Amino acid sequence: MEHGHAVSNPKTDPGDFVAEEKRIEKAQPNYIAVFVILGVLTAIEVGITTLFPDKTVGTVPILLFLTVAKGLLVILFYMHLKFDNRIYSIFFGAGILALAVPFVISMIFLMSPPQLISARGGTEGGGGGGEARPTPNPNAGPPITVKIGATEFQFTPDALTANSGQVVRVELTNTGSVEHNFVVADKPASQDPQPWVTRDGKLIAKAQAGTTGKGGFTAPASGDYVFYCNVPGHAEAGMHGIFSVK
Amino acid sequence: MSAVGKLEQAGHRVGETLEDVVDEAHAQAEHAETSTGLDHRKLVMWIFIASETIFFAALMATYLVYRGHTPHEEGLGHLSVPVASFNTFILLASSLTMVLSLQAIEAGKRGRMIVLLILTALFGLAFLGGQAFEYNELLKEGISIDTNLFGATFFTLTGFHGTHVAVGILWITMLIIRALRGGITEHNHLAVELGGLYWHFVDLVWVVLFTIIYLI
Ligand SMILES: [Cu+2]
Repeated sequence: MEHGHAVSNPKTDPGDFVAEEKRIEKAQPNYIAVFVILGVLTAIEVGITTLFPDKTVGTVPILLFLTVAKGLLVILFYMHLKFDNRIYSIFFGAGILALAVPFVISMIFLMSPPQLISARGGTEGGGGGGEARPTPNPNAGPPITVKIGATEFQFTPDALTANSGQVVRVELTNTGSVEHNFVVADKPASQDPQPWVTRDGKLIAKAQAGTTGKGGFTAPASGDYVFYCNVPGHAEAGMHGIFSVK
Repeated sequence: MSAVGKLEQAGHRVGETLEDVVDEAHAQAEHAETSTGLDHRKLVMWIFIASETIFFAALMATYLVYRGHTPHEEGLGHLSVPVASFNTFILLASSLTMVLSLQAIEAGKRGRMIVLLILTALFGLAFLGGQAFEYNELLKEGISIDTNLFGATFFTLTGFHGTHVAVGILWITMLIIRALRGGITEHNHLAVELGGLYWHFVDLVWVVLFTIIYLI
């Protein structure tokens, strides 16, 4: 195969259309090299995310920079904008400009401290977007995984504990013969001892017969909360338990 | 008549119409100089891509604005970075085969172009397969488009992108049919270039989506 020159840029008068057209026909960049670079940049991105799983703001600009680099490689080489007439670039540039504006606005949202978001969520009170978050608890501890068995008609175990603000990952293993799920009431048990009647709560995980369903949530403010299966009749038959938050 | 036969016939008809349009435009381009000295069909393609960029930018902005509203464990925490990374490599590879197919026909290698186009379409299908797997995993974990704001924005954004991949696969399939009928030659291959521009654009959108959804 011929080896092209991905980086060398012929010194042509940019205003000369005839020369431009010639340049398109001559340009044979090494596309495989471009692909390898794209792959390496992607691997670096994934590596950064794996090494720094808590999305500290420091990694975000690096990841965005790598993404822009990848995008430019695709546009300039695969889409030939580097070799093509610049009028195409002008039309595309207008589109990119339109992309930049909402992107910058979104980044401002993204970079804003999480407290701002939860404060907003808290005042809105429920609704679609304003899912209230418990106030950060420095003693919440690392995320825990709880394995719960579900069958007709009971949970094993039927008592769970966590710290307020702690991330709880749920693995619901259904050893029964019908579907079961795991719902945690939003209101403490003192206010709503039978949430299956009021349909109060959030669906965290569900599992078809013989499968394991996964889900997770953040433990709410301290108190006892009822968890239950919301398949009609199951909670009444005994599929409920107590989730104690310290 | 067999289903394949019918499909082939339909392909011929689509191919013929496309060919007429392209041939006519090609004749014009060759005999009448345009005021800009550019190919108008390519210009239209770039304007279309710019409008698509704005469309996806709006969807991405919506996604980013709402992403802080769903707790990590109820949304982003369910996503699998390995699956998405695999899909990223698949789509990048498809862009490579697409651009190589254009290079092949420019050098007059029609058979090579057809093989590379088929590979591109297969990579596209593999990407959709990966996406179907991912959607299925999320649904199993109880996250769908109406579960929460994460579900709504995630499925809308990736769903629109997946639809664009599917359209791209159809487009490439049409190119393959035309090429098999001899409608694409060394000196008449703008259709491959335009299809390529669209395909690379869809790849480009994924490059950005991958970062804003799975990485940051
Ligand atoms: Cu049940």
